[in-house]
Amino acid sequence: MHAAGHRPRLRHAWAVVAEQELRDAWLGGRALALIVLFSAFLSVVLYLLATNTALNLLEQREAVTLMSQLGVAVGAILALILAADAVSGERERSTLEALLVSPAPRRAIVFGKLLAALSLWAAAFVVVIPYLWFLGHGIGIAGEAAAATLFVGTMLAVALAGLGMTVSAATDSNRASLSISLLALLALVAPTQLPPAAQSGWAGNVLFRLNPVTAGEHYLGRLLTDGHPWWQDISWLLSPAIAAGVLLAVTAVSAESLGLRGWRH
Amino acid sequence: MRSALVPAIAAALLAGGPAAGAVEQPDLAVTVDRSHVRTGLGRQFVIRSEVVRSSSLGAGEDVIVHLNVFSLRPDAYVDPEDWSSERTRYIHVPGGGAVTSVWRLRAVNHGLFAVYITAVPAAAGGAHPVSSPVVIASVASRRTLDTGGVIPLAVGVPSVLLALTLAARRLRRRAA
Repeated sequence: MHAAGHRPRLRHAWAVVAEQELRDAWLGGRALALIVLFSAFLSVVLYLLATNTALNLLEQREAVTLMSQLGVAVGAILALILAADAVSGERERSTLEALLVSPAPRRAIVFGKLLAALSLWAAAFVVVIPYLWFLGHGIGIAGEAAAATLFVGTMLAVALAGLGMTVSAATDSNRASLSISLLALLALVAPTQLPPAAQSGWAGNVLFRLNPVTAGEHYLGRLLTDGHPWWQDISWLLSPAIAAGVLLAVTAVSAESLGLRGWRH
Repeated sequence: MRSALVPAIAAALLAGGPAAGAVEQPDLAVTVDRSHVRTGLGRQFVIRSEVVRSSSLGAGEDVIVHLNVFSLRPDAYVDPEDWSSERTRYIHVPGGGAVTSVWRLRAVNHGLFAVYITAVPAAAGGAHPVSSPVVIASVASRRTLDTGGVIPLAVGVPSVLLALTLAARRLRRRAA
């Protein structure tokens, strides 16, 4: 075993951890299974958009927006699911100890795992591209939709994966980690279900701006449905950017106290 | 002479005073910026209405304006809420002035429809409504997406990914 002072430098360690985690996630089949489900979900939405009378009458720009928003939201959730399993899963399988006694610094372990979780978002983005192209190429917004989906989705995926990783580091069981993470996500998505009157008031506006998920989705709507230039509503991306930065920092701080048990102990 | 005068006075009184069941007409008028709209199913369109108060007496009047939609043919069911999410507005019309309202609608049925705006003085408690002329909306049926083209993509992408998953599984088993 290496002494703490002789541990490999952070940039090498995280790459080793990330490679191992990517191998586990993708060759192990878990990430691929989630991506298959994700693509099936997008296919169902696309088919409904094309055949369902109520959805088919959406403006084509709105159909592109809907696909982009779903891609961003569900893709980020996939990253959250994988991140929420990252540390608590290792604890539950009793494999965390082996990882903690390895020469890799704890922050490198956590960031390697975070990177693997974010690979699910990257794959989700690649999968959503043909759907966006199908809906948007006829009206010339497929490229813009893909770029906006990548930009907004990456911020939300980093924020949600950071949240999942932090919760995972703090909990002993996978079930608890996933429950807490998904509950937090539900709280973030809940404002979209408010009646239109509640969404349009000043309080609704503030809530939508502060909430990174609703703010990101709102920006996509303004950009793709309303055809606003990318800079016009850029202030809506402030909360997703801040959430991504803050949750990354929290992840880094929580990584330092990573132990065999969660924070309860 | 007297026999002719009495019915004339009675007629004048009846015309001048409110008869049983009749209502006093408010000094409001509602106009719209168009008489006809041609659009496609699912598309949005805008109607502007103007509520004009002819009397210049007083500081003005609170008025409730309400948008309504109905089908001119019996075969189409119309839910006005689907056409516009904001159908009732509360405005203040100054004395001798006018207020313009912009109504954004989405044509959610195809066919021939009438759209109109009604104004009611708030003080009248819902009485004495005044309506605008109707705007005839001709909504053409259309489909935004081709159902045939969607199936290869909707089936193809998950199939390719499923094949990749099965291949990865086979590789894993071989390695084990």
